[in-house]
Amino acid sequence: MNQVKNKKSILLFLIPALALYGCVQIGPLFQSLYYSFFSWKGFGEMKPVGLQNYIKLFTDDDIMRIAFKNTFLFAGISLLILLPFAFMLAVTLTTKIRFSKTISTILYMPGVISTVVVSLMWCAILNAESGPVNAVLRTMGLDFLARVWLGDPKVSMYVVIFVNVWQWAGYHMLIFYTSLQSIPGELYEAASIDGSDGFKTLRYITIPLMYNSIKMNATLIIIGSFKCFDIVYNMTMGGPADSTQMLATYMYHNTFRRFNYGYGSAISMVIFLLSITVSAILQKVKFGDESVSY
Amino acid sequence: MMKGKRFSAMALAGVMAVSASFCSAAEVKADDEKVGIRFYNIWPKNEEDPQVVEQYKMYEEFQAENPDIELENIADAHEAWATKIKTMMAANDLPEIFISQPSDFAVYADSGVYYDFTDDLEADPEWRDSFVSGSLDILAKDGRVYGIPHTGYVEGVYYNQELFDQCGLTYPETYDDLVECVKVFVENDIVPFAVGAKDGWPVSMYTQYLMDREAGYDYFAKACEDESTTMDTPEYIRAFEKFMELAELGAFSEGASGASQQDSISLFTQGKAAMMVDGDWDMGTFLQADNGEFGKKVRFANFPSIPDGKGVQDALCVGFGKSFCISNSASDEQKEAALRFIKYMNCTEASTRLLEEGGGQHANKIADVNEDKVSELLNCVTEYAGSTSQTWAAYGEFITPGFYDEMNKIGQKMLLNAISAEDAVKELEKARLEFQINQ
Repeated sequence: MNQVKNKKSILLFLIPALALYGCVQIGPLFQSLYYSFFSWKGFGEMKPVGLQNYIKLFTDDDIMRIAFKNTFLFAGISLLILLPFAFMLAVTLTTKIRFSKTISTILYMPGVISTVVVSLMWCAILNAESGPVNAVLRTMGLDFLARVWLGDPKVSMYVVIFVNVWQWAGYHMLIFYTSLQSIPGELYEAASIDGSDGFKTLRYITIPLMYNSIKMNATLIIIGSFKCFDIVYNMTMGGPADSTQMLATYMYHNTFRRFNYGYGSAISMVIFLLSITVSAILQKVKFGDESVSY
Repeated sequence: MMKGKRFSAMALAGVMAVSASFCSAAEVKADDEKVGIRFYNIWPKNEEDPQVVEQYKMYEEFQAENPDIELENIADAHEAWATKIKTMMAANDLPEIFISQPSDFAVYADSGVYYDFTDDLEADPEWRDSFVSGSLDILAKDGRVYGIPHTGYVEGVYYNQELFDQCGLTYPETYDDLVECVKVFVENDIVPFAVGAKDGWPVSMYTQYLMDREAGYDYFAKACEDESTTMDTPEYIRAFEKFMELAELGAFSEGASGASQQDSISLFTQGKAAMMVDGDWDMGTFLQADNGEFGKKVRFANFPSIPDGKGVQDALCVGFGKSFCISNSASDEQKEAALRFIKYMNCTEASTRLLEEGGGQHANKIADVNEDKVSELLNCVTEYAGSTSQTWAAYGEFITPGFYDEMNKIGQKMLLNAISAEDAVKELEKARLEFQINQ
């Protein structure tokens, strides 16, 4: 009896939050799905077009292809660099070096600054005419390396990815760092008594105990890349000539610049499905024995 | 039982409180006699912008003269406004008076959100005739006027006289002269044109001038309406070839493709670039740069002519972008009050006052301006605007956003030398059919 009552009160407490979540998250999701089957300017007549938006999106849209390529490139490179880099930083900081607290705060700093500020700052640094990067390269006689960093289709995507990595390395490091702190010191003591060296300790103690946070970081990085909008929009606006277009920027572009709400909704559904699929896969994938404990 | 009653009473009170607060947020505060009108605009209070300061004075004066109206001023910066107003229109949830622009009319005029001013203008011919010719046409669709033009713009070439003198050059009259100037500037390590192509539209100011010189405004305007008038023409190919020739010669700043409009303004005001095609909205920045020193060097002129081009060769890009509109869902009293306010803000007297005090172009004809109050540069711009034999509205003002967007991108591609002039024109034609004609 008590349990039933308990469940009721749990439900009662959950309802307001659930209702709010339903209204602002689940509701618009279905609305988007609905709009994606129409050709619609955002007002007036909604012309049902069936799956045409999706068909066009996958078969007859060159920019969409660029956006897909860039989004996966963004996710892939971010994952390959951010994950090991943040992990190494966190491990280094736990090895009792001096000022580790200060260093971790400094590293975490870019994550606290608004992305708009970060983007504008890097735009100024990378400015082809007045930015310090090109100025330094030129004074060193490395003129051939100086570039129009944000206006050269060959490099601008990588530049944006670099800035993204710069901004979020500290954030992911912090997740690793806190997780490292929770590993009891006795384990390391025991390992060193048993004659384990640094690498072995890392391989058999640290990494297995960190599977969950590795997985979490990987999910965050990938999903963050799929819906990444602000940094690209502020640094290159998806240009020049669509060369840095991402799924999210292209969705915005279609919806709010071309007034193509139906098509924009279809793109946002693709982003949603991609994110859901990837996080489901990551949930299923087992990185060794996750329930490991010593 | 008692408990239940108390609970339902409390719930009822809660619901009422919530709905009351919603009402007060959604409806305009109106006293018994007063008609409330909300005015959603793009001029947040800014003590440093003389035009905005003057505008706020005018709101207050209007309020004092019309005690039966309660005017509520709601202002957002341009970017925020541009996004919000689209959402408001899509939801048909508009304040009584709002600011709109011609490209929005192209999309939303048919949706019935705009109040139709045609009869009011007919009823007051004096008011109607006070507008600069053509300024009402661009806000009309099928002969019905949906907006009252307010701020205007003049786009042309701003140039740094000091750099021209330094290189022994005079401002080029024709395209061939321009090419010569570009070569001399490049030899002297001076950037001929400062362009910020990241935003897209600044490139279009150049391509459109060339297109206009080669084919003329009327041709472009016709092609936007008539499916069979193609844009894949030799004139546009020549225009684009000229643009790419300039790019090839190094006429545009090195980092143009990754630079914002703001970057290009800095380059120009730092005296590193000789020219910049821009609108008079940046004139204030030019005049004030370098503690006013830069203002003494900067001049304004029309874009060079192309003598064998088919367009009117001294045509100047002049238009009226931001206009006052009334929401069609406002009540009759509100519409009447809104119209009174709009007439107050958009008449010869207001236009003259805003020009003298703030230095901006406005859509009503100007009465005797006190020339001492106006900068030399502004006088020069106004003179050009008055003496040209044809004015043309920036293409982005009246074509659909989708088509404009494509046009900007084609400009970026040409700047990057990523496309040939012929292919660029083919893309332009494709975009015209897809986004303009079949929209």
